[in-house]
Amino acid sequence: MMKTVKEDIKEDLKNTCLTVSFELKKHFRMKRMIISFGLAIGLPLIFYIVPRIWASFPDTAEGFATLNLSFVNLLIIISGSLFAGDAVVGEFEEKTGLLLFSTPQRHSTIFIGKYIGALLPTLAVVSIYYLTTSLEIVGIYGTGGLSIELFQSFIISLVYTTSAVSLIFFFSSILKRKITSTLLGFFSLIMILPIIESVLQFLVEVEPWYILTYSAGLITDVFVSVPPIGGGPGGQVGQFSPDFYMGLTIMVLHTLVLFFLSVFIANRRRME
Amino acid sequence: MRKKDLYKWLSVLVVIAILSSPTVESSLEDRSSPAEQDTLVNEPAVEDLNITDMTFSDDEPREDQNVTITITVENKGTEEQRNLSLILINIDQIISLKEVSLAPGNNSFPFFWQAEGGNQNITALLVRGTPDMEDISDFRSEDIVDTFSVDIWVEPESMGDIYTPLLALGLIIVVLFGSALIPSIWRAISDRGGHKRRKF
Repeated sequence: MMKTVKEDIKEDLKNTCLTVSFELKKHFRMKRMIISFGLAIGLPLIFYIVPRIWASFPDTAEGFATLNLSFVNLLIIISGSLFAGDAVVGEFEEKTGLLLFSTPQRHSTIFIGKYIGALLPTLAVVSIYYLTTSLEIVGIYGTGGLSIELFQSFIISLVYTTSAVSLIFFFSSILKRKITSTLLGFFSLIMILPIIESVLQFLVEVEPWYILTYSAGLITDVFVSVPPIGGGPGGQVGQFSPDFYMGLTIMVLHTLVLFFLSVFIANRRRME
Repeated sequence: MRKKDLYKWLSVLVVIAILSSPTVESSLEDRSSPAEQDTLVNEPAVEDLNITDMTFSDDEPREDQNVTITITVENKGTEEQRNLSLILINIDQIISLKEVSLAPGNNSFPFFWQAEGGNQNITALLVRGTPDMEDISDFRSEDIVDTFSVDIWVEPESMGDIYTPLLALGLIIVVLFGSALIPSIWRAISDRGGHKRRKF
């Protein structure tokens, strides 16, 4: 019996959700969620506990937030690599795709589900990090310390997370080994792109506006009342600072272009 | 050698000795240029002139705010000092240049500055003469009488807005979830057009 368009759409959505829930269960079973959620709580706590024992807190809530959030990049990269690093390549390397791809489910819904399954826990990790930081700010500076800039920074972090996951997912869809894909994704965001960014800024003296990690500077740049401190991966104080709208556009473009490219390539890939 | 020749040579030697003495050199130079002579006459003793203070009309200015910077120069001498300039520099950009004369005691000079965002280093230079504004780097370091620097943080204008990141995130979510529907929609279009079904 021929299915109607409505039924077809419903089935695709159901299949995508099925893949997402399967991926989330897989991440939970492999203890990836516990590790990354633990890091999301533990990392910001360092900025609370250490100054309380040995030093003093920054004068303003914005100063504290800038110091703390300059390391959220690191968590995004770790979580993204953890959840998206083996998303596609794992099925090909471990041959589990032989079972998965023979189901009546459309391949595209499998890959879209896998992407969303990697993205959701990473977004959750970032949210937990910001929640912990916000609680610390309330504890130190009171509710008045929570500013619109903190919320702005949170949303920018979420947008950056989608682009970081897209990049790692892209490596996962083109490479043949899980370890290569995870490491390339991790190192490109933590080291390779920041190095290119630094070379362009300091040696060539041009603004690297098209580089993803350069746009990530917006996460802390929105706290305009605090001088840049240059913490975190690729967080050196450079000659240039990213333009707000251009930075966001670059993040969105990276997310969407790399996502569609990944799904397209993964769809065309065949088991060897 | 004849006595006449001896006197002649002796007088030449005396003239050479007189001309080569430093006092005469400087006195001749003084006469050669009236403007320079005036400079030298008015040249103050360096230790008598000091920039003692730099105050801002607002200590925590915001970007693009008009700020008045008041520079106080003390003349410890007893005479008015002329042919001096005060230059106000921000990092390596000239904010303003004023020709000044300094009466004995404290002298205040206001400068107007449109604040630029971020960390700023405002330096006041008291120099002899009037340097060329077009080529300020060309004046000699020995012309500088005194300098005074202040670091100030200018709060930049708030960056962007909250709606654009929200819109960007919303767009990503819609496209990601929407992309799951592309095959179904594609199939519906193909079916309507009488094409054969095909798997995306």
